[in-house]
Amino acid sequence: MKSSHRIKQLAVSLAQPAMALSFALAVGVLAILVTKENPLTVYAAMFKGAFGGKYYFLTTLTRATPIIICGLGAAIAWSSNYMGIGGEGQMIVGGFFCAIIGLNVPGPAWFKVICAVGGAMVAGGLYSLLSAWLLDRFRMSLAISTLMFNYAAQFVTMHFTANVFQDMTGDGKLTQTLKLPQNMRLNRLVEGYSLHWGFIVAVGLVFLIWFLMNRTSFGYESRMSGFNVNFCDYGGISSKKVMYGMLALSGIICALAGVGEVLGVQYRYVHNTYVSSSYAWVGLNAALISGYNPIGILITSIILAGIQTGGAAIARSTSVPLEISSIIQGCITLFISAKIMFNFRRRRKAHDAPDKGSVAGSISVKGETR
Amino acid sequence: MNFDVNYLAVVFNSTVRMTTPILFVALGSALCNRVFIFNIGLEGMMLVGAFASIVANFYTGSLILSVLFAMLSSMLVAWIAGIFMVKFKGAMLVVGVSINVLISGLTTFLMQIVFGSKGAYVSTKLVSLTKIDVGFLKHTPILQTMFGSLTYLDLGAFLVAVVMNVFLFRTVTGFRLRSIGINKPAAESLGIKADRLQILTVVFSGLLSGLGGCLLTMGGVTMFAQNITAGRGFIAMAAGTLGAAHPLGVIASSAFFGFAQSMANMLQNTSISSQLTMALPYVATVVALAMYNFIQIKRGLIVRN
Amino acid sequence: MPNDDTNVMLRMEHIVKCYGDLVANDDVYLELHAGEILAVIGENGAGKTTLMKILYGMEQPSSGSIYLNGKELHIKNASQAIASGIGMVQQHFMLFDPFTVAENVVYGREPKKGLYFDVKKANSIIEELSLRYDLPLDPQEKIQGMPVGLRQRVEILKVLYQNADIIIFDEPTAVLTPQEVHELLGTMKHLAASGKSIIIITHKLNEVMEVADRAMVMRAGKHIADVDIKDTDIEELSFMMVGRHLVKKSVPMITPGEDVLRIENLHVQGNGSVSLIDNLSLHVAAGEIVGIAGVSGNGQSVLEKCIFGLQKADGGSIVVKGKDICNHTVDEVRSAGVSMIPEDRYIWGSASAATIMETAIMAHYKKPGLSRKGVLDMQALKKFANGIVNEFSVKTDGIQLRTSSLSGGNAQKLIAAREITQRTPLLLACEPTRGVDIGAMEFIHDRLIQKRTEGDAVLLISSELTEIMELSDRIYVMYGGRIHGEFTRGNVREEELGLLMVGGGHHEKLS
Repeated sequence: MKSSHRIKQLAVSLAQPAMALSFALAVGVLAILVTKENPLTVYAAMFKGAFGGKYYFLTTLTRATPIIICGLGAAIAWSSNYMGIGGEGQMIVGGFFCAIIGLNVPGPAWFKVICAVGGAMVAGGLYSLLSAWLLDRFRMSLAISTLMFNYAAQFVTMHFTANVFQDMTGDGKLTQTLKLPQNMRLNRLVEGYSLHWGFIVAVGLVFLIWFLMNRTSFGYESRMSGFNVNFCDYGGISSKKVMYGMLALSGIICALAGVGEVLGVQYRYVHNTYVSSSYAWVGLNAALISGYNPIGILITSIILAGIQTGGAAIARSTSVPLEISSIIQGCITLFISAKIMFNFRRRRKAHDAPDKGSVAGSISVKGETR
Repeated sequence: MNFDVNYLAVVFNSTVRMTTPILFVALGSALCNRVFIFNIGLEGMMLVGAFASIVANFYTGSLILSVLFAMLSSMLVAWIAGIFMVKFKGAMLVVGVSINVLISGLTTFLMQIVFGSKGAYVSTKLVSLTKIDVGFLKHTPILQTMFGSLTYLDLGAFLVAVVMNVFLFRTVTGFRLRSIGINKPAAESLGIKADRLQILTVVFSGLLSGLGGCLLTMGGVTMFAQNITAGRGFIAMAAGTLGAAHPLGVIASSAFFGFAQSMANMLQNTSISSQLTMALPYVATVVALAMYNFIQIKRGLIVRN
Repeated sequence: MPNDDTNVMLRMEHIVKCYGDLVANDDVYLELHAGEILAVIGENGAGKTTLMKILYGMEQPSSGSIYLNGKELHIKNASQAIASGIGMVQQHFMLFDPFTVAENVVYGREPKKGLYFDVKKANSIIEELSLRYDLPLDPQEKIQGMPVGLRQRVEILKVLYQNADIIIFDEPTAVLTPQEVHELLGTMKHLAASGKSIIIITHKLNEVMEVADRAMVMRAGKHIADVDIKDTDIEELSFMMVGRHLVKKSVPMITPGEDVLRIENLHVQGNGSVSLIDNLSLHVAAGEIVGIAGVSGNGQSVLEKCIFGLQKADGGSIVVKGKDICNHTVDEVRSAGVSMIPEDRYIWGSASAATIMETAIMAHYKKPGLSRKGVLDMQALKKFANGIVNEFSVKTDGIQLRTSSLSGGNAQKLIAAREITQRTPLLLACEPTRGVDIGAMEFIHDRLIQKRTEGDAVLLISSELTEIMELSDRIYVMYGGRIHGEFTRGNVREEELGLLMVGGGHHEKLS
């Protein structure tokens, strides 16, 4: 009974994302038709551009790296019911500090790397903690504060990059810092292609986070906190500690996504690259689609990265703009949110009898989501 | 920067023009808050209205049709969001963020197909919103500066606020609407079709956002740029909260952000870095909200867990 | 108080309601005469609330019919019930705190002036109703901050505004103070005298004896009996309700040991001028079950939360095994040797969306053997969870299922299992058998007695007097945030306790 139950559970949890993906692809078909191209050939080209062949596949994985990491960062916060959307700001802050610390700290290469990565992690953690503090002290919605901080991060780092750390050696057209020396860069996994060791780190993080959430006290406390805060208070768990812990960790992880890009892809901090590629948003989408399951995030991130590289590929070869990937992605998460409806229907059939257990008196629900 | 009266008049005028797009969306957000809907998709609804107005403008050259098309398209998007949030009980944050991503991609996608360019589209052939004629003020140049270059839609924003005030607090429908945000199960058990009212509210907030989008694209220089809303929808949400979801309060809070935005623009030409001044409205939002919440906590109106 | 057939106003016949396999109402009939007060009595799970939900349109019967004044009715929803003149004052009030009394009462049928809400008219209607039915209320007062008794009064006005001829009260006194209960019963008599017909669902037999004309007894979904109140007494009603005479549990005599819990001069102020707990002192020794009897709402919830660290106390001491834990964190209180079966199993005691195992390991998972340095030992935890599930006969298909799949009684047993397994010197049992079927109730009672036999202390807080009297070695009565009496087993009668619980009688104290 148990193993077939397990298989059924797995099938059910895959069914909803699969359905959402189908609906989203259907919407994509409509969008492609508007461009007067053939949807089937376009999708085929997208698939090829994402996974068909070594170059495309490795490019997809490279792209997936920051997405996986931001997805993990979002997942741990959201699964405890702390719905922040600051991944982008934290990634920017992480990448920025990694670059400038790495460029300006004296000493041997290994020392510079440690300082750069460590500094980035601290920066990301603190950036996220600021929102946590605002939530704790002022009951300010996480969504609003993290959103505002995203914009603030963009502009402030742009200022410092353009005016203080600007790379003047080239034509000065791009707002970017100087390049990091060779000995600080992450090596490529496959010679000649863009995939770097950051990907391995990302995969490692997947398992680390899975372990953290499912096999440690901290993970248990966080998940329970997301289910029922009162239950945690009653059990002696400090919900404040959980909140600060989770949000700090989430910020640190998203900062690492920026570190990965700086050390592994551009070897410098370039203004606006993370924003224009929407890594953090795609990561959040991956987390939402896979129900905050780390392994699911790994797979979904690769798929979503594939949609993006595929989109870029067809943008070059057809008249379909690359934003087709955002359209598909937005639809996937939109349709995913409706999965609650299916859960609701299933549960009602099984347990319809009214329960007479809880205390009399009205329980009013105030306040928005955390 | 010289602080003479003329300068202040210019600031006033610029503030009003920055305020009105936010005001429209903020009123919509305030209304959604009243029915306990955290509609973060307003950014997307504003964007789609902005885009639709230019598209209609491009194809028809008609002012009325542009505004109409903007309203209809944002209402459609809002309706979809409303269905997912209320009927399918989707998590509001997820639905809203999805809408924003979707609309951002869709508008950039379509602009390349329709206008052939990705960054911005400007054209002298586009018609802009009718400006209010303040010629009668020409004897008081200060007033003329203060109220010049304002469109009828700008005025419309304030009118909507006033009408909404009456609606919310004096009519029966407004009364029932407020009750949904206070205690939805009670409202439903007492025979009110709460779901329907919530969806209608979201649709109406979409309509207002569409008008706000119109102001962005057709209020000053008639143009559309990729993601022209640049987070104004979110700032409007903050304004809605800051104004205690009360239409008159929202006017004040939207003006605050309008002022921050216009200051940012003014400071652009000074020695203060332009990037830092661009961050100003967003930081101002956080600070303002923190102070507002602080006061509410002290009065015991918000409980700190 | 007529009971001839010519005056039958409402008739429900052959009502059957099934939820899957569960038969909540089994061929039930109900008869209500005009101007009478009918009490529908039965234990939790007897089917009385289901029957009323059907009458009020909140549920549809699987079969059966309803006749009002001879005409058959098909009540599809609450609005139709209201339109037919049937109103219900529910347990969970449907009120809007920021709105005024008048706004709440007229909600849904607001007097209008065109599109506008005619507030003046609403206010005057409330004043008029208030006067006519002797239910004093200020129409312009906001609901926020109103005590429960007044809120209920607003609900009653609502029902009267809707011109209900039949008023159903669902467990109306569960959350009232003794004074408010007294006022409510008076109101009911007044309403009946003005021609309304009243149905009251309850299991409080003393109230039934005081206010009802007739009683209809339900047990296990069936209609057991109909009696005229003047022809019966509490014992007979109790016997019919439960189906047997309550057998007194045999409790082994034990000499109590050292004090495990000692509370001195506890004081909790709360908002406003009335203190929630006022200069309260009590003690519990090892090997004792001490019961706190009282009507729900007299400070018991505050007391249990203060002891456990979930609420701040403004003064006094709470000493557990020599250590003062007043205003310490929950973690520290648990470490000092206290566990608790909470009052509300869904708000405090469990997480519905979590698995049964996850609910079962709360406050255990950090113990050596179940986790090491922050890493959980899944095998050990599974074994532990299965162990307590089996030991307490919690009916479930597997601990990996959601906690929400458990029935109320089994969820309560799981929570009791978890806390009793803590093996702490002190256990707080708060309403441990509320809303639980008889089998689970007896099981939990047995385990509480067992804990006492093992030499631990149990503080039992319950509004069920029979439970208190059966299990307790000593009984305190709590009323208005104070202790109003202390008795040993066998030295007090139920009537005395009942009187103290409603604030009357003289205070007895042990020397």
